[in-house]
Amino acid sequence: MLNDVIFLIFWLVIAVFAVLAVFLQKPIYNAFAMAFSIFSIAGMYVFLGYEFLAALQVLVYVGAISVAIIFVIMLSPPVTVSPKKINPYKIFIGIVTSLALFILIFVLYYGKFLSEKINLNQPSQGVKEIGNLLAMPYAVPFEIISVILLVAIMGAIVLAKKEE
Amino acid sequence: MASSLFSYLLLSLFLVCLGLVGVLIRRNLVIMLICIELILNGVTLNLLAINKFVTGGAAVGQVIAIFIIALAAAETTIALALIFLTFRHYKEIDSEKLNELKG
Amino acid sequence: MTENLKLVALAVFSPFISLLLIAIFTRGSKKLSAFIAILAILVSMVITIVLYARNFDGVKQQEVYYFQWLLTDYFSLRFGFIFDSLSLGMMFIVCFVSLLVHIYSIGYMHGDKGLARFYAWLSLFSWAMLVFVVSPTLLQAFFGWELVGAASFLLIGFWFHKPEAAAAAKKAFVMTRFGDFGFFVGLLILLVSFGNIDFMTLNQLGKNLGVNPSFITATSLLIFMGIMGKSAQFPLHAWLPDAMEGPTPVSALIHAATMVAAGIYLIARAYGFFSASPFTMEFIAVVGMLTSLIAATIALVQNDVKKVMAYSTISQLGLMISVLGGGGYKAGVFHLFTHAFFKALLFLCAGSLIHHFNTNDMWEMAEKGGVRKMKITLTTLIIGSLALAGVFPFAGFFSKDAIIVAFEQNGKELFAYAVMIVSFLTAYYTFRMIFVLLSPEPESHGEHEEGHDEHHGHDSPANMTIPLIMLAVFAVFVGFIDTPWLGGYFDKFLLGKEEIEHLHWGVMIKSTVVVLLGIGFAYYQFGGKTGRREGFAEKVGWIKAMLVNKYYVDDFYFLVVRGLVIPFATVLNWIDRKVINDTGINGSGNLVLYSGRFLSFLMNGLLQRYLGTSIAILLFIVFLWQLI
Repeated sequence: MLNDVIFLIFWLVIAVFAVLAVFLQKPIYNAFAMAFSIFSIAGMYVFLGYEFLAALQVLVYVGAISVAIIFVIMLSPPVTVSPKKINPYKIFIGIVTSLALFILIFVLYYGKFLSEKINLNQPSQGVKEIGNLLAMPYAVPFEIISVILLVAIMGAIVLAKKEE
Repeated sequence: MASSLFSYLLLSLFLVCLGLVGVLIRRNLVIMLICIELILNGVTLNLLAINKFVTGGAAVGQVIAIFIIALAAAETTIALALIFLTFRHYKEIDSEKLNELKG
Repeated sequence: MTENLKLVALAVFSPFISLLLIAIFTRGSKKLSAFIAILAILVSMVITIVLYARNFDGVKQQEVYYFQWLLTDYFSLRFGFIFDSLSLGMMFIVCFVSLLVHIYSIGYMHGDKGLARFYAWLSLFSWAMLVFVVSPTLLQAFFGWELVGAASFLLIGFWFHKPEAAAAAKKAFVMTRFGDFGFFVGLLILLVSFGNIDFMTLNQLGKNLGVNPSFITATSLLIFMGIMGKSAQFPLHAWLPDAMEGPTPVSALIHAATMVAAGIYLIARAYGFFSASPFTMEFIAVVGMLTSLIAATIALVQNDVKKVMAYSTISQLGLMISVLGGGGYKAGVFHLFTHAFFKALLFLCAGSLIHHFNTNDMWEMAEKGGVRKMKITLTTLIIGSLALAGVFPFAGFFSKDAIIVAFEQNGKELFAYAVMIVSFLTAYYTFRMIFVLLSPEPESHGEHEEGHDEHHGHDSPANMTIPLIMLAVFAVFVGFIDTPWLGGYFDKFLLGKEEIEHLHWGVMIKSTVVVLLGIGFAYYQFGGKTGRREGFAEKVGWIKAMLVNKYYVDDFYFLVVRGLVIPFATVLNWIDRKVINDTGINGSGNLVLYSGRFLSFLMNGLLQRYLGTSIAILLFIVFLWQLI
């Protein structure tokens, strides 16, 4: 019971902060709201038994990505996107598309899962199994991801460097 | 509630759709990027919930989630660098004003 | 961790701390950097002596300490320390030679701008070499191996403003990397097949019936490829003579005594593994002997003192490798030990001469005159040469005899004769150098150039001569440890063998005769006032041309590059430019350009509208698909 209450709190925190992250007006607030939301998603992972992923989520999203976004916001001089004209076509298509997506997936797929239960008592596999998978069967994808990260870093440096 | 698969799926779908709305209507590039992060998180949450439901939490799903997170990090890096560059170039990060297709 | 292993760890990391200190704090101060580096290697030396004193009769039980680095269900990677007689002996050599080279460099490198850098890299090298020596797993050995390679690269190219030095550094790096490629592939295969690559496991592989013998042959040959690169075996030997562009103390430390001996050490360390494959052993023996003969003949016509020594190093390394392949474990290791002392001595002497005369060419040195006045350098040089040539009772004599005996005992008479030939050539070219240096000075020289005497009349400073003397002492006496007169001490130390091997008088007499013949021949052609100053190898034109051109190995490499790689690259270049670039890249680009122009009236540049529209269309398609 208590479990469910905590779960509900997390659920609502994620949802509310996600809404804030999308609709607040100052980028820095959005970034912080996103960080909170993502932090709470890590809580969800704990519910599912993925402790390692929860830690990774906090580390990478909150510790690195959010910080990087906040950095960029703070480094750029204050920029105000003037709330001048509203483009009705864009807002229309945005909301309609999203709603359509929501309804489509809900109706077509998720309706079947309405009463399914997850067995939370069964422990998820831990760091050891993940490590084994990364060491041999998934070694090549892992290396490719490493290369992608490296290239991303180099690319970011090259792009953001002031050309003299 | 915590043991109902549907509650996770609903949340992830909500995150994805919300992110989509944000990407489609917000004009600030940084906020669009934030929304993309939300979409990615929704997808990851979906994957992990299904992974728990189907396999009881096998490591394979977690490994793929790790790949998603790493790719998200790479994507953010590049996107931020591009936003930064855009800003320096045009003094502008409003997606509606960045509509020149050349230069 | 036992007491011994703790001491080993301390000895290994002392130079590393010095490296960090110099790199971070004392880069600006030459004196402080030199002091720190010398202190660090002195600490290692003292610890090694303590270890030696504690285990005077050899380490009875091999002590190993592992710590886990990476553990999966498929393999485990471990680092650690090993302590046994072999590693103790090697540690002693590395620390001793390194310490003397550190001290010697104060004098030799005096006034050089990059002294702090020099000492930092010497520390790096000492640390890396010790890491290699104490490694209990092949992986750590590989790490140490690559680190010494890097240190060697940095030190060969220490005077990087000299184009030859930079080129030599590059050549050494690329060539050894070529071998290391094989090493690494072999290492990976072993790792994936057996899950760990500790030397203990490797050495037991041969006894494991489940392992296919040809598998061992294949992997051991791959690993031997790395050894061929690092220990300068034919055909990957060409980098070592060029590496002499580095400062001479570096040549003494890295390219004579320690780093190039790493390959021999690795064979000795994984001896069970290599000896499990008879084919590999044969191969090792043949390659070693071939290298030895080739290098010894090239050395006959070299005029640069350091080049002579470089080729003699290659030749001696070939002997060691060959005898290890021939089954003479003790002889190979013993020659490694003695060779380290006298070859380091020879190089440091050469450094002393070069420092004095500012030239590498022995004929020029002889012409300038004054070699005879450098008493300490000259004496130690002669001691080193006698040891290298293998004259009783110097160190090289006993180890060379051990090699011949090992070959004879293993029924490889042909190899024993080949060693005799090498030893004749060695005696000949070594004393050719000595007699050229000692050639009588032109009478008129000193009188015309007044004030020159002051420059010529003294020996090198004490910080250069003291290391020479210490090494010379070892070069004289270290050979006796393998004789019955000291109770067969080396056998007892290395192998724990109790019975004393008797002397092989026949071999001793034969080799002495051969060596004396070589020296006499050198005297006849180069010595005294009557010598004709022309070696027997130089009389026949085509032989001379072949030797001066080093058997055309370098030319062969250039030929391969010019004849195959560059034309191939040109063709590829053409294909890239014409076919891929003009029709492929530009063609597709133009296609996109023109179709883009055609469609551009649809484009308004509004990012979100594109995105929204495309997602809407996608959803519509999914919707339709679901309806069907």
